[in-house]
Amino acid sequence: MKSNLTLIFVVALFLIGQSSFAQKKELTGTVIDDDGTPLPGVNITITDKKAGTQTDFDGKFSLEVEEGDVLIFSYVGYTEITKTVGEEDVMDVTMKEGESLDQVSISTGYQNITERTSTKAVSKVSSEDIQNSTEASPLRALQGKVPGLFIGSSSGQPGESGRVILRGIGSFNGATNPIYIIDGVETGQAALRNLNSDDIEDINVLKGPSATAQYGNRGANGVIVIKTKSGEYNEKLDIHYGSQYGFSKMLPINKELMNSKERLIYHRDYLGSAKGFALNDAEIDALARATDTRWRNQFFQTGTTTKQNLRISQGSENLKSSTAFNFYDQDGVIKNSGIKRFSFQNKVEGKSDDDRFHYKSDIKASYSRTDITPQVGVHDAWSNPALIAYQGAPYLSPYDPDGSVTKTGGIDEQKSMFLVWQSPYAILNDVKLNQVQQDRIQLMANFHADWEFVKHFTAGVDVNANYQSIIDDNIIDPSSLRAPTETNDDLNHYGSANNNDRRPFRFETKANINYNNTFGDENEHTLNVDLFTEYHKNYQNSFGFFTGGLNDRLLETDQAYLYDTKENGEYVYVPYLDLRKSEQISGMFSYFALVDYDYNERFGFSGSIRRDASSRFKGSNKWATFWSVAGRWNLDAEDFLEDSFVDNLKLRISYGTSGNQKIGGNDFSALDLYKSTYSIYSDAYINSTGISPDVIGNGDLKWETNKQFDIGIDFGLWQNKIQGKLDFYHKKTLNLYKGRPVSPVFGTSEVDDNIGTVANKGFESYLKYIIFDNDEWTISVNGNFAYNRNKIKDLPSSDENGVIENGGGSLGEGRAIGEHVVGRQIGVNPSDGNTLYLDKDGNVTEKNENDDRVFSNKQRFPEIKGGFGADISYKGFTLSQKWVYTANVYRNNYDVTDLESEGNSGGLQNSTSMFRSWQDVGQITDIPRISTPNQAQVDHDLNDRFLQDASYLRLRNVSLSYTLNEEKLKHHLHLPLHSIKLYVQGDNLLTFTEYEGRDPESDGLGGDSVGNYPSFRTFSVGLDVNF
Amino acid sequence: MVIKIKILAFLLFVSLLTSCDNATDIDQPGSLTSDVAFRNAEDLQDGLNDVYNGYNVDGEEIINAVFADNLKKGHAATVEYKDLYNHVLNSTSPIPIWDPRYLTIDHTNHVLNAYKDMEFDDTPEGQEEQSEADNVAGQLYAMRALSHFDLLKYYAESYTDTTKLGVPKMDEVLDNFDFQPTRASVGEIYNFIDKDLDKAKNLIQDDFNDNRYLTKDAIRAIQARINLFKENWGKAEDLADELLQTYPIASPEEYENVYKDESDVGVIWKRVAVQGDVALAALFYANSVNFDGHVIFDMSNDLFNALDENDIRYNVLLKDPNDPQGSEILGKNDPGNNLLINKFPGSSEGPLLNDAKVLTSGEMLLIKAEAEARQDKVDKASKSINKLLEHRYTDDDYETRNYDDKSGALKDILKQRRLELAYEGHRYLDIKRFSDALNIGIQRNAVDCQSYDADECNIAKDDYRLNALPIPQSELNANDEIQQNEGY
Repeated sequence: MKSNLTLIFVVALFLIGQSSFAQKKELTGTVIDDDGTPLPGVNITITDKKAGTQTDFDGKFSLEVEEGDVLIFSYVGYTEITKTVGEEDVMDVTMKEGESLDQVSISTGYQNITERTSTKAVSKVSSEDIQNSTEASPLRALQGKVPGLFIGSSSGQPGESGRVILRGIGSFNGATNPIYIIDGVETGQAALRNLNSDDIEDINVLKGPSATAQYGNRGANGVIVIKTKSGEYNEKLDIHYGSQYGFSKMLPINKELMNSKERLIYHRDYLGSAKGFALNDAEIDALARATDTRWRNQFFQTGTTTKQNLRISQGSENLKSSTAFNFYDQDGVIKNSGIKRFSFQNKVEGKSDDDRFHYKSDIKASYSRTDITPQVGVHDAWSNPALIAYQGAPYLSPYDPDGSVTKTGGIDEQKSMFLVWQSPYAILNDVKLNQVQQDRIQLMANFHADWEFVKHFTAGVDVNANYQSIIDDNIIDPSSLRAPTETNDDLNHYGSANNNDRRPFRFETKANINYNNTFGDENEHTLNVDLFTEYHKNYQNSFGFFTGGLNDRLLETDQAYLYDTKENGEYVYVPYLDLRKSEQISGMFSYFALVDYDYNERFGFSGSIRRDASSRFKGSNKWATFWSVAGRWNLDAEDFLEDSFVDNLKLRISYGTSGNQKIGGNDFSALDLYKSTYSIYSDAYINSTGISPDVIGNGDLKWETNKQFDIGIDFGLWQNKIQGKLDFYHKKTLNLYKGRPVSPVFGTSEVDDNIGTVANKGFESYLKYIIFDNDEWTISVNGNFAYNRNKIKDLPSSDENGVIENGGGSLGEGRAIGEHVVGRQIGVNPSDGNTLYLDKDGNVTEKNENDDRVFSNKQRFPEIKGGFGADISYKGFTLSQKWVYTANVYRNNYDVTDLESEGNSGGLQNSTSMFRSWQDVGQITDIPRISTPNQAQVDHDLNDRFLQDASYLRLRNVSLSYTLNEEKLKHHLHLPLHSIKLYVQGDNLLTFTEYEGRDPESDGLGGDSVGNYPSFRTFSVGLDVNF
Repeated sequence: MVIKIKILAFLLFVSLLTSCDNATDIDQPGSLTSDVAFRNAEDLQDGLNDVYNGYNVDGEEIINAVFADNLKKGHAATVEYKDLYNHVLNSTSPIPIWDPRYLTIDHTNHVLNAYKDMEFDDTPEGQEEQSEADNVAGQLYAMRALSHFDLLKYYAESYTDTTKLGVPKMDEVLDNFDFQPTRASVGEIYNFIDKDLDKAKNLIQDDFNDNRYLTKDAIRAIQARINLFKENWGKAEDLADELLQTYPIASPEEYENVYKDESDVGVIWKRVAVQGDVALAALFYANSVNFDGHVIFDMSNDLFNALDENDIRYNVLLKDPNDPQGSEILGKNDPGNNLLINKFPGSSEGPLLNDAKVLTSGEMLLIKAEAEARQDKVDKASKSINKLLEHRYTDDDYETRNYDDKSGALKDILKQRRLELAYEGHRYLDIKRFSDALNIGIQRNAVDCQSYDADECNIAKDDYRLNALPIPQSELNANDEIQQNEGY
C-alpha cells in the first residue's frame, strides 16, 4: 500500500505542478456500492491536505477541491478507491465490497486490531462465507475455510455440529472443543444450533499463542469469536428479508448389499442356516420375487429445510440498532428427525456527542426443538435405525398381506417378544412412535460501556449473562413394541417417560482500563495497554424424572402417569417414579494485562500476562500464570521493498502459554475432585439405602498448560491480487488430564491426574489469487492446506515400553493421540480359511491375542485437511464452489464390519462381498471362512481388517446466484428495493474416497464411524431482499 | 487527572478482587465428605448395605461354569464367552472376581475406619447404638475375610503351602495413588482371615439370625469351607457337623422351592437379588429362561448324562422337556440337544433374577462327607452321602452308597458336589482340589466341546490354568510390583 501511496504522491505532485493555476472548485458526487445502494458515511480525504468529508444518508458528498487533488474513498468492508480530480465537477464512485489487508479488523474478543498491526495468528471468516448455509449450526459452514480448523461431522442429525479440532488434539480425554464467544458471551458448542448463520457478521478463529493467551484460563483449545451484525451510525432504515428452501437426500452407501435372492442363497450355500437354509431354488425364487425390501426406503425420506430471516437496522448520529428474527425448520433424512428454531436478537449501541462514551446492549433469545433419532450412534443394528436401514434382511416385508405397513411382520408379539425386538419392525416402530426430543431455550445478554474519562484513558465494563434451559423429553409410547422393556412387569403398564431439564447459567463481569496513545515527533509510536479483571461463575440446576408404565392417553402430560384402577374408578399414581435433581457451581477469577506497541506500522510488539484461579483446584495449585510475547515486522514498509510487487509483507513471531481446567471437558463435570467424597444411594442391598465411597480425592490436580510457538507470514502481491498467510506452529500441552490406572485395591481402576505431555506441530497456509477483476468479471480462486502432527512426548506411569495399555485405546510415548493400536491381519489362510495375523514379533499366526496389537501409525484424526474453491462473477451472476478434503486419517469402519460379519448372518444383512468367503481348500480370498473360530475376526482392537483410509475429497457446496441491483430495480423495474439476490446451491454433491460404507466424514465418538446419522446431499434455492 | 485514574483503577480492581474468593472457593451442593458421611450406627448400616450390594457371585459363576465341563454353547449364542470356553485364559479374560472383591474390601475398610473413630456414650441409648454398630462391624469383618478368601481361592499359588504367594492383603483405606500392592503369602492371608472372622464372631449378636446377612452361623460355614481348602479335615468336619445340627437338609420339594426363592430350608446365607442386581441366569439366557429367551449356554451333555431322572436335581437343573419353551432332548450326546438350565428360573423380582444361595446345609454335608473320606473314614462318608441322597430322591430309589475305598468315595463325592452345586461357583475349584487325589483334569465330552468349535477339550491335571487364574490386566496396568501367576 505504501508503495501505492508513494506513487500517487509522485503523480499528484506532478499534476499539481502541471496545474499550478488550478482553481478551487466545489466537487459533488454520489458513492454507491456494487448493487447500486448509496453508501452513507464513506470517508473522503484529500491526500496531501488535512481536509475531507463524509457522504450523507444518500451517499452524496460535496467537497472543495483543486484540480489534481488526489481523493481517497474509504469505507469499512469495501476496497479503498483513489481518484484524481480532473476538470469535472461531479464525481460518482462505485465501491466494491472487500477489504484490503490493512483495513481488515480482527477481534480477539478483548481487543480489536487492524490486520496490519496484528502480531496474532488469527483467521477471519466474513459473512459472505457463512450466509445462506443450509445447516442449522453455523459451524458447519466453516468447514474447509479456516486452515488448521477441523470440523468433523459426527452426525447428520439436524442441529448437530460435529467435532471441532483446532491445531491438533491437546488432550487425552477427547475434549477438543475450542470455546465460543458470541458477542462477548462465552457459550458451548451445542448452543450454536440456536444461532442463525445469516446474522453473523464475522468469525475470528484464534489459533496462535498471543491470541489464545488472552484467554489464559480457557484458551488452550483455541477460541472462536463470533460477532453478529449490527446497525451503522448514520444509516437509513435497512430491511433485509431472506428466505430459503431446500431438500436433502441420503448419500448412497459405498458398498453393495445383497438382494433378497442373494441373501437366501447365501444362507443356503454359505452359512448353512437361517431363513434360506432349507429352501430349494424354486422356493428361493418365489420368496425373492415376492419380497426384496430395501429397508432404507422405510427409514429414510427426503428431508426439507426452510429458513426465513428478517433483519431491520438503522442508525442516527449517536444511536444505532439492529433487530433480527429467524425461523428455521429442517426435517431430517431419517423419518421423524428434525429441528425447528426461532431466534430473536436486538442490539442497541450508542455514543456521546464527543465520542468519549459508548455503550451497547445486546439481547438474544432463541428456542429450538430438536427431534432426535433414537439410538443413533449405538453399535447395535437391533436398535439403531441408521444401521438397520442398511442391515435389515431384504426378504422381510415391511407390509402386511393386505398392503398396509406391518407392525410385527407377522410375528406374534405376545408369544415371542424377543423375536420382534430382533427385527426391523421394532425399530420402524420406535422411529414412528417413540420420542427423543430436546428443547433448548437460550437467553444471552451483554451490556458494555466504556468512557474515555481522561484523554487516552478509557474505562470499560462488561456484564454478560447466558441462561439456557435444555429439556430432554424422551417417551417410549406404551403401544410401541419396545414398551415392555421399559417398565416394571408388576404393573402391566408399559412405556416410560424420561425427562431431564438442565439449566446452566453463566455470569461474567469484566472491567478494564485502557490506555491508548500515539506520540513522538512524527506520531510514530502507538502504545495500547489494557488492564482487566474478570469474574466468571457458572451455576447449573437440573431436575429430571423417570417413570415407567404409562397410560397411552395424553403422553405429554402427567395424566399419562396415572392409571385407572377399575375397582373404584379412582386415579392412582403409578408407584414407580425416579426423581433426579442436582446442582453444580464452578467459578474462575482472573486479572491480566495486555500491551501492544507499534512503531510507524513497521514494527510492533505485544504481550500479555494473566493470573487465573479456578474453583477446581486447591492450595497452591489454585492459581496459575499465563503469558505471551509477540512481535511483527511489516517488511513492506521498508525501503528495499518500495516500488516492488510486494504490497504487503508481514512477519509475525509469537510465543505464549494458556491453560485448561475443565477436566471433564465442560463447565460442570469433574468438580470437587480434590477431595474424597461419598455418595448415598437408594438401591443398595435389598433396596436399602447405601453409602458408598465415590471420589478418591486428588489434592495434586492442577492446570493443564499449553505452550505454543508460532511464526507466520502474511503477504499481498501485485496489487494484492495474490494474498496469503503461512504459519508454522509448535504447541506443547503439559500436565494433561488423564485417568491414570491405579490398583483395583483402591476400589477403582482409574483416578484423574495430571500426567503426560503432548505436542502438536504443524503448518497452515492460505492463498487467494484474484485472476481477473474488472467491472464485469471477477474470477478468483482460493485454497488452504493444513498439516498437523501429534505426538505424545511424555507419559508417566506407562510401562517399560512407554505404553499405557488400554486395548485399542492404548497410548504410547512417541505416538499420536488417536493412533490405532490393532492386531495385524494379513489375509486368509488358503488351507483352512482362517484369518492370518502377524503376532507382535511379525510371525504369521492364526491366533491373535491382546499382546499382539501394535501401533499402526494410522491416525483417527486427520493430519492433513483443507479446502479450496473458486468464485466467478459476471455482472450480477456469481458462481462459487467449495471443496473440502482430509487425508492421513483412518477409521474403524463398523459399517463394513457389520456387513461382512458372520454375526449378521441370521436375520440381518451382509454385503455381496461375503460371497468371497473362503469355502474350498486352496481358495485364495480376502474374506475368511464363515465360522472361523477366532473371535478377533470382528474385534477392531484385534484386527485391522476394517481399519480403512478415510481420506476424502468432497464438493461441499456449489452455488449460483444472481443479484439485481438498485439501479435496475428502481429505474427499470420501478420496485422500491435496494437489491434482490436469487440463488440455487447444492451441498455434498460429489465425494471421492476409497472408504467403504456410508460416509468417510462420519466421525463418531473416538473417531470411528459407529452407525451415526449419515450425511446427506442438499439442494436449496433462496432469495435475499433488501428494502 | 492522575488522581482520577488512580481512583478508578482502585475501585475497579478492589471491588472485583474482594469478590474473587466467592468465584474460586466453592463447596459443591451435596458433596458428602467422610466426616459427615458416617455419623452414627445407622450410617454404618448404610455403609454395610453398600458392601453387601457390591458382593456378587457372577464372576465365580462364570469361571466355574464356562471354563469347566458343565456347559455347552446355547443355540442363540454367537461369540459370547467363546474364548473363555475355548480355554483361552489370560489377564484380559472376562472374570469379574479380582476387581469387585477388592472393591468390596476397600468399601469395607472405609466403613470400618468410621466405626473405629466412633464413640458412644454410656447412656442406655448409647449402649444400644454401640451394640448395633458392633453388629455391623462384625459383618464388615466377615465380609472382608470372605472376600480375601474368595481371592485366595482363585489367585493363590497353593491352598496348603502357606509360604506360597497369596493375594494382596488390604486392611486400610488408601490415599497414595502410587501404592502398588504386593502379594502376601498364603499363610499371612489365612491368619488375617482367621483374625477377622474371630473379630466378627465377637461382634455379631447371638440373636442375629437373618440368613440374608452374615450371621455367626454363616461365619462358621465360611470357616468350614476354609478348613476344607486348608485340608484341615477334622476341623472342617466338626464345623460342618455343628451347622448340620441347626440346618436341616432340604427335602426334594423344599430343595426345588429353595431354587425358586420360595423356601429357606438349609440356607445359611443367601445373597438376595432384587431388581437391578446381577442376574445369575443372565449367563445362560439374554432375555428369559425360555427356549426363545436367547440361549447363550445350556447344560453340557456330560452333566446331563450324570443326572438321574429320579433325582430332584434333574428337575432343578433341567428345564422341563414337556414345557413348550423347555429342553429338547434328541438322544444321548446328540449335537442337537438343547438342555436348558433351570437352576435359576427367575423369581417375582424379575425373569432372570434369583437369590444366590451362597452357603447351604447341602454344601456342609458334602464338606463333612469329603472330610470324612479324606480322613479314610469311608463308612462315615457313605453315610453322609446316603443322607444327602435320601433328601434328593422322592421315592428313595437311589443306589445306597457303601464305598470300598477312599478314591471311590472321593470320586462319588466330587460327582455329588457337581450335581448339588452346579452353576454355583464350585466346579472349576472342585476339579482343581480333587485333581491330585483322583488324578483328573478338566475333561469335556467331545460333543460339548465341539458345540463352540473348541480346539481343546481337556485341561490336564498339572496345567497352569488349573493351578490359578491370571492376575487381571487392571492390576497389571497400575502395578509393576505384583507377580503374575505361573504360565501367564
